[in-house]
Amino acid sequence: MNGILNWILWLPIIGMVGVILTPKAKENVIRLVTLVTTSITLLLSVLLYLKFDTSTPDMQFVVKVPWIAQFHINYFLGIDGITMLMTFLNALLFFICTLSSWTIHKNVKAYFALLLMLQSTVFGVFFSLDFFLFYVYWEVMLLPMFFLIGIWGGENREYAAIKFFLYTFFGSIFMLVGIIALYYATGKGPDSFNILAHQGGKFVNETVSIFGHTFSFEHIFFWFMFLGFAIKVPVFPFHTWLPHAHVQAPTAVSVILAGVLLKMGTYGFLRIAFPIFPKAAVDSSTIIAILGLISVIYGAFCAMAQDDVKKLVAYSSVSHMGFVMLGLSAMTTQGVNGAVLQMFNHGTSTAMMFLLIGILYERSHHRWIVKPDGSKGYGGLSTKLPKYTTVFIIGMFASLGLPGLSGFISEALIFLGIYQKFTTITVIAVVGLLIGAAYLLWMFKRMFFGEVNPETEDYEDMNAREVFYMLPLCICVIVFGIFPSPLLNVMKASVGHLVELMAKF
Amino acid sequence: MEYTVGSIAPIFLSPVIAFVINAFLGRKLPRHGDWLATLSIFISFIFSARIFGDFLFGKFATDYYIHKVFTWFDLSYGTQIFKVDMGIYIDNMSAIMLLMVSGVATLIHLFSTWYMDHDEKHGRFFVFLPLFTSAMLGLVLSDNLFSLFIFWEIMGFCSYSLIGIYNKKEKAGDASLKAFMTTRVGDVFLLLGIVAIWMVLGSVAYVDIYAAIAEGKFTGLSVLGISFATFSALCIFLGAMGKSAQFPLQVWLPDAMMGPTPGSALIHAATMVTAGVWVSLRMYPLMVLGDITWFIAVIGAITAFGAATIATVQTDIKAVLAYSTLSQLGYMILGVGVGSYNAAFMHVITHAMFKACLFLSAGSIIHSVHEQEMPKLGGLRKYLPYTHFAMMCCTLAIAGIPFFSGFVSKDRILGDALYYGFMAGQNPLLAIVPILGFAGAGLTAFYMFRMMFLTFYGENKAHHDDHGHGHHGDHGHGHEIHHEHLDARQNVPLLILSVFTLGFWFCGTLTGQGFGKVFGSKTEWFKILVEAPKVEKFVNSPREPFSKVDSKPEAHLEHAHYHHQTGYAGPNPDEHKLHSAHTIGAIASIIIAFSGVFLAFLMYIKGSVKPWASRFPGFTKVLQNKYYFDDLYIEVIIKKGLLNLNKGLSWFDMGVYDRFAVDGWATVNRWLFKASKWFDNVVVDAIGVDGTGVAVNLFNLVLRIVQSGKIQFYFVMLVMVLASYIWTLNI
Repeated sequence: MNGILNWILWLPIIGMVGVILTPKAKENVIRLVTLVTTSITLLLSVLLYLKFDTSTPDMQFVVKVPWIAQFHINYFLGIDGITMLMTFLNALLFFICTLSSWTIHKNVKAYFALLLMLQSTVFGVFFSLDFFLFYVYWEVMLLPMFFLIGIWGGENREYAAIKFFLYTFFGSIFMLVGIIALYYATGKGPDSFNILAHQGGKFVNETVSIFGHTFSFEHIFFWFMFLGFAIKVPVFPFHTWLPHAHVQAPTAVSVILAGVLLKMGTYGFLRIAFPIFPKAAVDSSTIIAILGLISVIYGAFCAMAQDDVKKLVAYSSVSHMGFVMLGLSAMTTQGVNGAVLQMFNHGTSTAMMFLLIGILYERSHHRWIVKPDGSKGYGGLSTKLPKYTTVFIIGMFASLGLPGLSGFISEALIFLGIYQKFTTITVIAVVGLLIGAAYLLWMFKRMFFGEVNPETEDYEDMNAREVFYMLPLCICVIVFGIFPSPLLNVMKASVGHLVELMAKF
Repeated sequence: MEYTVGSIAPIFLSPVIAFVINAFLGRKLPRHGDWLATLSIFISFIFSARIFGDFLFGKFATDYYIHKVFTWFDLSYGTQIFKVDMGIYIDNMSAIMLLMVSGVATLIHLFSTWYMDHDEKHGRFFVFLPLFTSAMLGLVLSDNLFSLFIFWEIMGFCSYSLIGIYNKKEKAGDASLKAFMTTRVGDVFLLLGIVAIWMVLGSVAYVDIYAAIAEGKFTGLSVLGISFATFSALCIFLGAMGKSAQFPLQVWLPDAMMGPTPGSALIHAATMVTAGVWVSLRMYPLMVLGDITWFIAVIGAITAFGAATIATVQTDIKAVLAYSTLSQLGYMILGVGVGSYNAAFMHVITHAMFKACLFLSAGSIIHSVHEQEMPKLGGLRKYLPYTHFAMMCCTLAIAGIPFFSGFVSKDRILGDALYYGFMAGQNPLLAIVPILGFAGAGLTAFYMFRMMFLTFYGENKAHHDDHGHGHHGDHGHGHEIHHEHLDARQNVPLLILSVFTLGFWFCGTLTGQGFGKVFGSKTEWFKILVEAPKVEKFVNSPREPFSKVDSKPEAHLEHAHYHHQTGYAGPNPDEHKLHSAHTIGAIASIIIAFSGVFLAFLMYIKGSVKPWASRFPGFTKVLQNKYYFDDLYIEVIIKKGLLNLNKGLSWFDMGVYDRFAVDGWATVNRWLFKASKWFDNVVVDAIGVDGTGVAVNLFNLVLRIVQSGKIQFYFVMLVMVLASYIWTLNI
């Protein structure tokens, strides 16, 4: 079984090679190759889930092969409960995105090749237990994203792509400095790039001298790491790349961006920043919580002002990822479990929202709730598009945290977690729930209620392909809303281990 | 007696199953599966009736309950223990509530199969109706605040869907949005209260909260400067205010009539709005501990009176009923506040019966006449005799006429309010509570009879003369005013519900004997079954899975008898004064009710007194505008405040912060680039110092790459940061 991670990691690359070898004109073959690859990956990740041992927080399915021996760099893969969920989410969303990208007609070959490459790199980030490998995947992931936004995006795609690239890159430089610092701090020994070996507060007493002043090693490099991950999440005030990237990106890329790439940021906190620098993390938890709180409220307020429905959902991601940060900053069982669950649930519900907006965009070729000239962009959609409306309602209510759908449990757990530590912040954060409902329902009201807008008269309802790829997400959102245990059981040992670690500091 | 989950779960599950089937297959089923929905609620009713029967006939103990627990999910790992348990908790009060909800909902479903015939939304309506009912039943069955909250929110979603069901109407969209958002204001506080209690006590099960109150676990804690008990009680009550549409969150309920009338019947009577009262009753010991009962009483009184004043000027028959619901909910909350636990709950039940019937009657009128503006109605008594009969019974009940159910419950609330306001030694300002309560009662009698007189009496103003006369048969065979079809699905629910507007069902006879005596007790059954939770009882009854029915037959009979001749659960009642308060209250409310009816008679039948509108045009305008609360909330707070704040923040985010603080770096780079180019050209070349030129050129190169945004920038930055790192850290 140990090779299964290798398979999941490299299968998309094999698929990519397949796509590249296919002649450019045979677009359907290219699509099929991608679909087959992503389906097998999805099946493998389900298999992984079935084989997964939920009782232990240890890394499973570990692969460790020396890579650059003189620097003790290893090809070191493994997953725990948190990664397991992210793996499944990643496999699922890429499978769905392949289907939703069926309508891409511009340079099909390059598009699907890049998409598969992106999938592999995202798996790489989640699987890597070696810092060097992690960093390589973290950076290489930018490449396909850069081109996917820059080539297949909207009108202002180049600006958005460069902004996305530079912003993320700016953060990752700080992360790299942190990695190098750790490398030196551990004496360049055999474990100096091993993420697991650094965990557990080994640097509590280390100091670092900068311009002759002595600082706590943990506190300096926690913030280096923080910057790298916070930009990815994105946490206020590092969030402004997100609306640009989302608005310009093609549908599938938005889905991947919101669905899994943002989670790489919070995953970084869970795997690297918190366990390696626990003291600094505990000391800074108030600041993280406040930043999370600002993200929640500020993101929600900004979302409400948007006339572009995709931008609205983009800002809602800022708000929802703020909840994840709140849960993480609590560092309690409920908070961190809620945060990880929210990572998964936000992945499914936001993916639904972006896919649905994409479906609508293919019909309307605009995304205005209210057009710049003040007229209605849509209106009365529920009369014309009943199937679409039903799915939209499921996605929207999952997103605003209706009990019975997935978002609620994670938000409730986050609140339970955060209340123990930051009561005042909890009291303010509930406003986020209120505004969260307001902007979504107000958007829904303006787009779906009322007389049918003549412009929307000839829209067709969702076709079979669209229904087919929305279905798994609907099922996820409903089933995990009623029975969250399949997700919580997988992650609770890993999360519990982390919480126990944090509790010592 | 042993209850298995199988004997309780169908109450909740059968409507859920109907919902699932109708949601997926409704279109293919005959009649969109409305029969299935109705049947499923009837099954709930049968199972509820069995439990109710056991509680009523079997044992007459006050602490008789069923309690079962399941683990929903478990986050325990190592030393950290956190389990989320869901449970079923049935005591006397929930047994009565289950019977009422499922019974009234069955009749509403049955009526809807008639009402929604040929409606384009027939199918969708019968998807949400059973879900709505199941959520309410689930809420009543819940043994803890968390699952209560879950069902609470699902009900919010159902009401959103039902109110906005006519999706082509812009107004329906507004109304559903308003309903969801207004209740959501309360909901977030409720969630906050639940979270707070959970994290402090480690559980949100009712029994654990009661035990914690008895053990004094709330004392000495404070949150945000106020005591923890007050904080949590206030949060929960704010939730109740949203759901039960109490001032100042009352604005959503009148708009909620945008949906089909039977849907309104369900929202206003059996489900949704009573949830707020329900949670206030369940958490009554916490409200007392948190010392917010005075606040509850005042809010209830304001709502009861304010809504009644608005109802006097409404012309839409459903609007009158909507405001009467608000007003009656005010009485229930007032009852909770003044410690009239028993009567407040009785009012939930009696109100559900007559309000469901009133809405269904209004539905009959609207469906038959296609008109809901009262000035355009009139004289319908001849055409809709069954509806008239049913509606008259209900009006008598809601107006507080003796021998009818509304009198029994409301009079007791008012009696306790009188005691609370004048005799219990409270703050004299709280005299406002009984004053507003009695004034509202008079207005209730007035506006309800105004509605009756305008609708059923006087001249028929519907435009039937276009088609000639002579169709006015005894049972209304006129073709224009679609005569009352003798359809059982319409009449039977109305008649059954009107039977239950009689008072003796709830209090035995008026003397408190009679009906109760049948079962061997001198006290009324309702008083024995329902009393405020005595928290001490729960100290040693932990929340264990599958606990058996705690049957202590007869043990508490005498105790129960002492306890409540009145049902008053407030602090240390002076029995004598309380008794006299009730006597005075009863006389006063009879006088007030009859004066209200008489005034309505004078104004709208006899015509000897001019209606309000012509007497006080200014005040009437205020009332017609609902005291301008809608304008305040929507025009001022939301449109002027919130939306501008949003726009401002959004502009700041993209136009200022992103433009300058983020993209500004690119501009800075561009300047640096230009400056260095200038330096390069002018200074370096002109002066011709070759050595420095190399460094400047390098710098120049970097800046050019930064500015052009090329990927190579990455590597250069990498080198630079590494270099600076090594330099600063001296490694």
